[in-house]
Amino acid sequence: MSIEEWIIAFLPGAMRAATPLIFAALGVLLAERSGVLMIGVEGAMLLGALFSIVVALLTGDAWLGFLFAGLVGAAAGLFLGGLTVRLPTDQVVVGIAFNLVVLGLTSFVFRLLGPVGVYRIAPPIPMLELSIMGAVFAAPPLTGMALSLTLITWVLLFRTGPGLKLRSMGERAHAAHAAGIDVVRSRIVVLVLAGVLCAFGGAALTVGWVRVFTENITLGRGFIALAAVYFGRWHPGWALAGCLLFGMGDALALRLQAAGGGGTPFYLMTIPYLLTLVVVGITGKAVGPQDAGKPYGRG
Amino acid sequence: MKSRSFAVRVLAMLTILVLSGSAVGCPRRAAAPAEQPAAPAFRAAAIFSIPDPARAGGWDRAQWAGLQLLKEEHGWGLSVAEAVPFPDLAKVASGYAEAGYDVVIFTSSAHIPAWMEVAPKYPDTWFLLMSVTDTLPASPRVAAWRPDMYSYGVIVGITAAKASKTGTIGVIGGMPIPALLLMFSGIIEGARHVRPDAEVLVSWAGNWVDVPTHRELTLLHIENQADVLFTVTGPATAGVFEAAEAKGAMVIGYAADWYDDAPGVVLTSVLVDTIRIYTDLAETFAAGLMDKRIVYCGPDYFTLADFRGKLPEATVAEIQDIVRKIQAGEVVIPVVMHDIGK
Repeated sequence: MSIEEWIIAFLPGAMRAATPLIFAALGVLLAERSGVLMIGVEGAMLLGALFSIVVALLTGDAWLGFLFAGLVGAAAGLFLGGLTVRLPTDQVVVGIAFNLVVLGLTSFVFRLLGPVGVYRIAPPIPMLELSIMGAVFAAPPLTGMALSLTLITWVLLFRTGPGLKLRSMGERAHAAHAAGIDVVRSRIVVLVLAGVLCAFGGAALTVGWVRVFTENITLGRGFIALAAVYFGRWHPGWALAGCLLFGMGDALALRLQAAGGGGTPFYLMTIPYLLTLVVVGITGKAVGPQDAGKPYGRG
Repeated sequence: MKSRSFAVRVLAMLTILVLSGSAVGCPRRAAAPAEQPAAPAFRAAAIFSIPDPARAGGWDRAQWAGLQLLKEEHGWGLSVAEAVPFPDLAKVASGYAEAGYDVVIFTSSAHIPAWMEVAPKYPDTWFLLMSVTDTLPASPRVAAWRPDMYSYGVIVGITAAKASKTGTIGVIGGMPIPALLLMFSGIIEGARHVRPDAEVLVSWAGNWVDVPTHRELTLLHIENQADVLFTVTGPATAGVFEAAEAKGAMVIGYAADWYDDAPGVVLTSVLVDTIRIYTDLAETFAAGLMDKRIVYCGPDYFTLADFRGKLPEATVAEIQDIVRKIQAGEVVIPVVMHDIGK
């Protein structure tokens, strides 16, 4: 295989691995930019992964499954917002508990739905004819959508008034409130959006990639998206780079093994994680939004 | 107002903690041994390291069928612990022994260290292994049903090589445990027995559950000309099916009949007769004849599932003929271990 052929085969593999991470990382980034830690990203991804495949199998339409995942993600975001912003409770504890609850819940629902055929392979997601990315770069539609959303997120955060308000909530929530922003309501809206994006990440993993669901299918990918955001210093472009780096590491590890070189498969499988660790180490200490993780109370 | 808000917060946190506790308990069915309503003849506990053994992988599914036979045909009480991590195996097995179970069944060769550790501590409990071993723990009540995984692999290799158009066979394992090293070596030798130029590509996913990794490894095998695939893993088998379906390759099922999982891609399955194994176990127990031993389960324990028209009848007949000769001892394929686990 020539270098060109190798790269042509390698890049789609890397993009397949990176696409779910990009969606989830954008969700995490939005939430944390608004001042709320999105530890529940793994759970939101799992919900999206399960419900997208269930709807895709029942309706025969993968796009419908993908959209339904967004609805479930919105509900998850609202739930998390209610607990961490409205009450507010500890964001880390709620995030961890949410992930554990969803892991059990999705496994339970998955087994319950066995008789309606959720163990089958879902229909493939058809190419979206209107996808500009698809037309220009021949990228799969969900990859095109993830890349487009990265650009949209950047514009929203750094080139619009609502984006400025969102960032101000993450840096100084009380100052934002003094400036007339309803911090509680705005953060809940952002968390709903974040839930949608994280669930899209899960849906991209199932209906967009492997077309099946198994228990705990995300296997920590939500936390990798979280790491990508920290690596990217809460900037959409750099978070995207983090996801791509991990995707490339993943694809490289598999290809090295298939080529029969580079040592035992177990060492090779650590490549994406080692790459992420090395890059995070090289980039040094990252300082996030100042009010991220701090419960906000008006009193 | 403030105290009401505090009460709501406390209530919310408690709800989350209770839900998480109950939900996390869901996948690991019967983590605490459960009683049967009527007094059973014997009480058995089976330990799996993957979730949902009734559906996942092949070996576990075949074991599940045998366990159901113990329960439904022989009236045994049955408790199943699933998704038990390797470091917790000894603890879970000890828990069953202390709870008074008559038989504790380990279902994988990866469970051998725990089997060796726990069995001597509870000499009144039978500890059984359903996998490859050549030694028994230092305890009076231990036994193993040892499938000849090498011969099993030989049958898979013969079937795959006969079915393959390209002569390249893709094999994916979860982890290089002893049973799989034997089996995959058997696949290589079996394939070469009927097709000397056959190439067998072996890769390891590093786990039994990561569907995307298994899918991508399968795609790489297909890119490298493999048109018949075989996998021994857990729930991640679904990733192999998906990639095979997307690229038009065929999959040979492991231990149980996989046809219903992916009718479009499953060529056949090489079945392990766990019904015979568990019937033997139940009858030996009922007769009070159980003793310390290793029961060798040779090629006659392995059969081919229906090909359902996926291969020409003449090819199927050829495969069945070779398998019959292996079972009868007319064809012997020497054990050659390949360096595939590193």
